[in-house]
Amino acid sequence: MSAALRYEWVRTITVRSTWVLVALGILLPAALTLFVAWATSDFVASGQSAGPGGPGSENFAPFGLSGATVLLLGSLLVTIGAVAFGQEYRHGLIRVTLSVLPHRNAVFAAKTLMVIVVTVATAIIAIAAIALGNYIGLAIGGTSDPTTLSAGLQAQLRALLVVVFFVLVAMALTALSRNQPLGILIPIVGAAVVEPIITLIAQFQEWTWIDWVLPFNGAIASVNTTGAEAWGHLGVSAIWLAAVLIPAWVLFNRRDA
Amino acid sequence: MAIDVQGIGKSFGSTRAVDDLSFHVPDGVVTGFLGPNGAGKSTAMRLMLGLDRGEGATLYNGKTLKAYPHASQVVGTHLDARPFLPGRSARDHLRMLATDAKLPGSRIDEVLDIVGLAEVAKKRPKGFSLGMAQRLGLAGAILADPDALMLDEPANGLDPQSIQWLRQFLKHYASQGKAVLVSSHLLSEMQLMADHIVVIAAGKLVADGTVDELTSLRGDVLVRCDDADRLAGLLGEVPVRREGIDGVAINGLTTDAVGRIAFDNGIAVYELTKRTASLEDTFFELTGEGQQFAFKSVDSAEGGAS
Repeated sequence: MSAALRYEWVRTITVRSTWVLVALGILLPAALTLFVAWATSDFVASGQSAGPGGPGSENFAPFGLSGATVLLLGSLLVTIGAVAFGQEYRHGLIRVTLSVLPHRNAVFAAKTLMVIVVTVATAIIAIAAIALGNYIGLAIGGTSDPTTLSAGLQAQLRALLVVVFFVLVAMALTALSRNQPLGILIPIVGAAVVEPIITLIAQFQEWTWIDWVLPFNGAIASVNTTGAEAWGHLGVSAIWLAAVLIPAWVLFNRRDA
Repeated sequence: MAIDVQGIGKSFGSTRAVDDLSFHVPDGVVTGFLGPNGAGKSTAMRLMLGLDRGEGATLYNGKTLKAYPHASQVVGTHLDARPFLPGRSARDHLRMLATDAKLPGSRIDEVLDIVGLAEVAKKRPKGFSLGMAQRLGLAGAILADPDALMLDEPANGLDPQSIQWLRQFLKHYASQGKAVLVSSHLLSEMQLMADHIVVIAAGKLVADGTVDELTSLRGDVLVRCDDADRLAGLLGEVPVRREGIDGVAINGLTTDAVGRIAFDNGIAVYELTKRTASLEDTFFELTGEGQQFAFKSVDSAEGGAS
């Protein structure tokens, strides 16, 4: 296992795309948050809502976190998960990898662990950068974030888990399909296009249960909600993750390299 | 390090790609792995490494590859022409492979120097020629100084000087008591490089032996003498055929035996030559029915066009 971890570490850090994605993942959501915080600082100062889930509303996640910024962060980092298997299959490197490391369980575990480590490290910095962007944006607008520290930390932890969920789903889908673009596109298109449309239809049909079924919107909802409901959404996402990760692991062991 | 292949097999749908294949790759010599296109060579190599799922087992000095703590020190492989990420530098690619056996950076530099890629070590290999890509693949295979090498068509894309270098390198590598299995379509090259040959066709073993054993099976003895008809008659059931006015080609007898028969019967011999078939002739004879994707013969192709 330690050899597989060393292999994965070098594989991860010796690809330029890893560093580009990490940089984008940190900078873009922070920049977006800074802009939104500055633009909406009046609402925050007055205690008014800029709309459901928006700045100043009851459900608005603290320290600048919002469903949109977490979705952006998750969408940027899904590639880190997808390339863990995608690059190997695309370039036939998987045969080299499994010749050097013939224990497939160790390879799968090492890839999963390294993806989690890189994602968590990036997401922690990115979430801190988002909080900083929020602080600066509000300060420029002449106000400050009313969030209490404990509420903020819980939301940040959930945001971190949501990003890990996105990235691991991308990794599992790529391992299942052996198709990197598919592994990247499904979480992004699912979260940003397909599920919002389903949610819209569900609102007309009054399908209130739909929020508890959809994998990506449920995960995003855990950032915009609080307490047991927020953690419940994350639990649903965890079941979805298991539904793709376990078959990916089983097939990785059974299939030809 | 000897390799024992024991009854490996695999099907793709209804096609039996490799069928109950067993052979031995001895240490100390280069073993050529031959077969026509679609014979199952690459599939067999992947099965031997556990990369493809199938039947049978492959033992490396009596143990499976998974039983060793560092597989890269047991068998070095080069199975694909471009087995690397185009955006990762050649040196970083080897750094990654070096992690299994915790090899130092100096070993990476040494191997890059051996294969002649030291000058482009920090370059990304997306612009590498096929020959350079093959060298990088070979560098990865020998990096951990493994006890066995398994190379699939390593000479593809190499220029004649590089092929000569590869031949000498692999012979030297094997001479250190290591097993080297090389597949190739370059039969003349394989005749120079390999001491031991394994031939498969349609997934099955058709020949296994030294180059001399295989080529002598298809060889004959040519004798030119003053009474070829009488000599042919004296040989009884031994397969013979006439060649020219005074020549007889004889299968299944040694030059000594033919010379003795001629001498005992007062036949003057002008020439007595042992002729061995080339590996190419032997290969065609062995695998004639086993080529999966055969060209049309020139005659029939021309007939169809007219």
